[in-house]
Amino acid sequence: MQRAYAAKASGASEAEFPLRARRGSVRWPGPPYVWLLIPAVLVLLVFFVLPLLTMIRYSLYTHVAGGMMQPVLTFDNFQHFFQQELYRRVLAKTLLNALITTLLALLLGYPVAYVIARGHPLVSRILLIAVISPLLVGIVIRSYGWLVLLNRQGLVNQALQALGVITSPVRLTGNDVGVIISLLHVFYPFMVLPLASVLQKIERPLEEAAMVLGANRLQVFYRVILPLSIPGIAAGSLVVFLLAAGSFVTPRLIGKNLTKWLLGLVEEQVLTVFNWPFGAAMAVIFIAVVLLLVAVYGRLLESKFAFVLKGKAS
Amino acid sequence: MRWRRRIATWAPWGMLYGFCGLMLLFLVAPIVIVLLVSFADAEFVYFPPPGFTLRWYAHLGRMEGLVPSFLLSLRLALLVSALALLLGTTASLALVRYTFPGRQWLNTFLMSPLIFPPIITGIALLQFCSTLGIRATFFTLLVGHTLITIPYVVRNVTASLQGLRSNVEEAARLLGANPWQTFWHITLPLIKPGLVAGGIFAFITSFDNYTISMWLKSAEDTPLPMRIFFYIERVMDPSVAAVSGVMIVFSIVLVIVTEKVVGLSRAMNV
Repeated sequence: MQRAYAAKASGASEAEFPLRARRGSVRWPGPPYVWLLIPAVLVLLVFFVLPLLTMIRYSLYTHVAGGMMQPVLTFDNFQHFFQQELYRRVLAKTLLNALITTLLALLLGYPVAYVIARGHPLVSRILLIAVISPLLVGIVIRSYGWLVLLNRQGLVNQALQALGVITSPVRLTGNDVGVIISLLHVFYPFMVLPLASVLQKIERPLEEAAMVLGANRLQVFYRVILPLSIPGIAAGSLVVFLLAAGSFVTPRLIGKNLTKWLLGLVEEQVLTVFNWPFGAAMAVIFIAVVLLLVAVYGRLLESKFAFVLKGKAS
Repeated sequence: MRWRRRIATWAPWGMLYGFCGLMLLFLVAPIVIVLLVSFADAEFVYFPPPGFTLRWYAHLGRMEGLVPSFLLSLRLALLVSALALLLGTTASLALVRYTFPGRQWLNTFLMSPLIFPPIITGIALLQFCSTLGIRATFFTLLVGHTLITIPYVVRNVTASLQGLRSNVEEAARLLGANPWQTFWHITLPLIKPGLVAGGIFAFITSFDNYTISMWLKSAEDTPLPMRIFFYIERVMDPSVAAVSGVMIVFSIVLVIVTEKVVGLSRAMNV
């Protein structure tokens, strides 16, 4: 059965390459794609899938004082997580902050993506480099830059005071405001790049047609460009949400242990409390909740905007 | 009448450009401030600095553990990108050049390390290694980093391969090249942009990684991001900014290289 399958598949590849010069090439048993895939798939299976399964198994163990664990299968850890108000609150806070970051990135990213796609070539190039540049500077260093900018005597506080917005310095580090600002900076490119690439593909004649038919600029935007850019919005916001919810370094550096996001609590459980089973359970809960949200989001998009997303399915 | 129409055409663009200017400021601000502070002639980080000096850069060589960490991260990132390129390119060839059942599924599978927050992948690997009694060494770091960089290579190389028309390869085969010669002389040079982009992404991802290294590093080895993190939390003088300054210059060089070799927009799939 398996063999027949493989033979059929390799037959298909023969059709793609009608001329297979066998001269000078070693014939390996089985279709070549299997040999090409084995290394990468094996690495992922052994060092990614197996560890995740190990973690799931650990999440069902119980913790014994002194950093030991008891290999019994129980859902106590999960029950504990949802019974404690602290954990539920941190989970909700993490997801909400990730959502805020995503919406801000979308609102602030759309105009820039539009200019990259449609603006003057030189402006578009400068913007593209500026958008990409934060990606290339390490996350630790970018967070440090924000730490310098946002502290009590930092440039942001000085500027706000000079403009008369505030009278005395406000605290921007050690709380979620600072974390969201720096996360926005860190993940901004992941929103702008997919948006720009989708906007670039919208054909200009479509807009012109709408204009000829009597639509004004605003109407062209709402009726033509915005709906057609939904695949970009979907892709960008998904990535930014995932990255923001799963961030650790920025909340840790800017939040300074004063505001913990969920993954910070996970680290604490594993590294400081040595409660590996509970840490594992928190990680499992986090993944499950995020995957669930992503699935719901995908469904929602599909049901509402099937007409633009259909072309993207391939 | 004419100028009114002109304003109507250009006003929205003016507003857009103005907004983009503000966002530009937002994007470069933390990088510029770090560079400025690194030259500050002061014992503490504050702005504006009272004067400028190069002494924090001269101080770099004396910072504890900085040079070993830099060398470790460099070695690690180079090895990781080589490994990821090898594993990712072979897999991409299979995914693009052959049709077989479950191809789409395998593609998703190879991209899946991107979906999981690296910190969770790291914890899973730590628990896996400890179950098997594997001690944290350079090897565990190498494995962890390779894992999360494979998707970048797969994404860039498959994009390049898909853009390549396979009749060029067929022509080579017709002219008598064997599959290996075809790959080496035809396919490889044509997918170079994808390889360079994937390799650079892999390098940066590894060089910049904190959340995987944090779990898998041995007691002796501290990769550079962890070292800098440590400085940020404990060192108050501008020497941290000087370290960052060097890293920023390093990134700028990388941007220029990318732009020269493949073109930035192509590397970023825009």
